[in-house]
Amino acid sequence: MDLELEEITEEALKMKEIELNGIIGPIPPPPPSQERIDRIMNAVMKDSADFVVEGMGRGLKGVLDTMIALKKKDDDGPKRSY
Amino acid sequence: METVEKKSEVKSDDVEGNTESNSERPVDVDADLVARCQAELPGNTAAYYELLQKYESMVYSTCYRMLGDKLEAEEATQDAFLRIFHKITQFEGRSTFKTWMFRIVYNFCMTRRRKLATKREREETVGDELQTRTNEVHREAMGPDMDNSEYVHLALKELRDEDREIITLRFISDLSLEQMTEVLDIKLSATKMRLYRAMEKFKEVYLRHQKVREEALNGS
Repeated sequence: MDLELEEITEEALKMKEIELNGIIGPIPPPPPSQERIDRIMNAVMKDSADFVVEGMGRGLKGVLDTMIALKKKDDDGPKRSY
Repeated sequence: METVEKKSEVKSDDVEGNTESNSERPVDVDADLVARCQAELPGNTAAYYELLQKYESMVYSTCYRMLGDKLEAEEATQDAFLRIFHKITQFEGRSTFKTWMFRIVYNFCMTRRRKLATKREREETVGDELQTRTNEVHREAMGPDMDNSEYVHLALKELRDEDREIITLRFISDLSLEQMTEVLDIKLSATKMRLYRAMEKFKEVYLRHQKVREEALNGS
């Protein structure tokens, strides 16, 4: 390990950043794209709907299995603090 | 910088960035929105939509700089926000939401980049020829009409992956040193070292590009 590199201070970094900002100027983020946002929301909604349908498909047995598993986890593991 | 964050320990096996620390909790400007998401999802997506609107552009921009491809960046952004949607109820606030989110984004970018690299390795039967062509395209692209962010993008593309990542996290994602330390899962001293070195390299490459640009402008 290069000792010199361990001595980089936040001050030195700050100076380097200022220098770099002075050279390249501001980098504005691209404007938000409504098209991209809509596409993500569509994917999220579809995924969410699939999840609900899958859960319903498991029906009462699925719900009971989950409850039993949680109960077992509680019994086996350390007490949860709420 | 919109967050004030204290360093907290990051466990390497904690992929979602829920860090184990009893030290002072960071101030999270997104806490209200996150709490609403945790209470209302999946039935009501209003708060999630607000988070999406707030960060989509920054996340996309980060993915674009890291992956260097718009389509890949769009897919990585979507994957990351889907993961956030499903995991936000497990977020415990041990880091800021922004740090947690960028850790997910960073992990998705790394996975995608590895896949891309493997794919490119398979495809590149004439590797050197392709690189020459890429360089030519870059030179042609460096016309006077390009805006600053495109020059930054070209310069970033020339950096090593490691340098590009840290420059992107600092200047595009606007993360603090402490936040970058958590996202990259390295020590603070290593973060400083990497950032300093990366900035020096970036400056060198950017100035070289600027010289080419000026020569092109003077020649036209």
